[in-house]
Amino acid sequence: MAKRGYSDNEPRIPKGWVLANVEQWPINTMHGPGPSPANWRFETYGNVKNPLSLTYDEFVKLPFITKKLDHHCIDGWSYLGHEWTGVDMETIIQMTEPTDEVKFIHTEGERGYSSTFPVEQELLLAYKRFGKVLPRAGGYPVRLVAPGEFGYKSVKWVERVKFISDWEYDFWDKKLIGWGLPPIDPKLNPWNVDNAERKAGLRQLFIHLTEDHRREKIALYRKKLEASQ
Amino acid sequence: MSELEGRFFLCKVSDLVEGEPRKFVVHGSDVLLLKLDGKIHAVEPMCSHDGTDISRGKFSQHSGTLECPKHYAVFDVRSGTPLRGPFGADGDTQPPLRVYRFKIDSDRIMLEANQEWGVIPQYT
Repeated sequence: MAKRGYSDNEPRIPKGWVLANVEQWPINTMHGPGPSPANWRFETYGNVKNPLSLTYDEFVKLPFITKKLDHHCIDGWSYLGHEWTGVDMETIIQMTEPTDEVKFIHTEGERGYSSTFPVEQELLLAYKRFGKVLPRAGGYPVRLVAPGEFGYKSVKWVERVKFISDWEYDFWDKKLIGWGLPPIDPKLNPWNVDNAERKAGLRQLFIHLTEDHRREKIALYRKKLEASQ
Repeated sequence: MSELEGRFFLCKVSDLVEGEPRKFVVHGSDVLLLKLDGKIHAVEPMCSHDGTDISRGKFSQHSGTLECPKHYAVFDVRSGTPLRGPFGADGDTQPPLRVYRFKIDSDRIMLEANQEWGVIPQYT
């Protein structure tokens, strides 16, 4: 049976989605990127026998794979056929040797962005797209690619992977809970989503997000005003 | 209390040019004034997708729309209604842009605002 996120999946575009109306790679950079990291390392920690700490040069020398995968944003657009090159999470698991009680992995990027997955889920730590090193906005040095999941699960600018035995809320779960909204159903994906619920949920989220931006903007303005007086 | 107390002078109607949006900052909030078919509109130029400043986005006089320069969501500047979401997705997931209340006192555009509450939106 065809797998979600791959080109032989039928239907290839989830119901209600549109193809992104752009010629170039549509990049949603809602949470970054920050300044280019000078001393970036890829690290694993948590319940592992062999914690890793790799430089970029060491990371790109690991065994790699290349996969053609589709991207579906929760906003309702798709971009088909990204060709990613990177390290299979399975390779990292073999190297870092999680203990038997590990059931989940918590991937962490810049500025507290994160997403949690079952440890057996197919994941790719990509550092090239169509054979070219990623641009900073696209996730350089390394980004996660989670086939069949919504795009927001694919953490850009990955820095650490934590191996855990209990489910841990990730970035968006914590945001939603902080706004008094329910966390995201871990089984939610583009192929089982109720579109009306998705839209209503997103609308709620955007209302809170815009209000946060507004508050931050006014606070920054007041701070500058005070400093100038 | 006079009718114009608690209002903030932005600019003169005659200063505004059709098709050339002008941005102001009032108590830390951005206000974008646009002149469309002779009528003035005041919106908050903040994309309701991720907070991007859309004051320098593509403004279409023909359709009365403003396009976010980052992910290309499109809004009707007259009502703030989102017509399209990021990268061509449906617009109905986005909240509308804030539309601000103002009055025109002879030629002067006076925005409703005060120090305590900032700019007063028409719809919240």
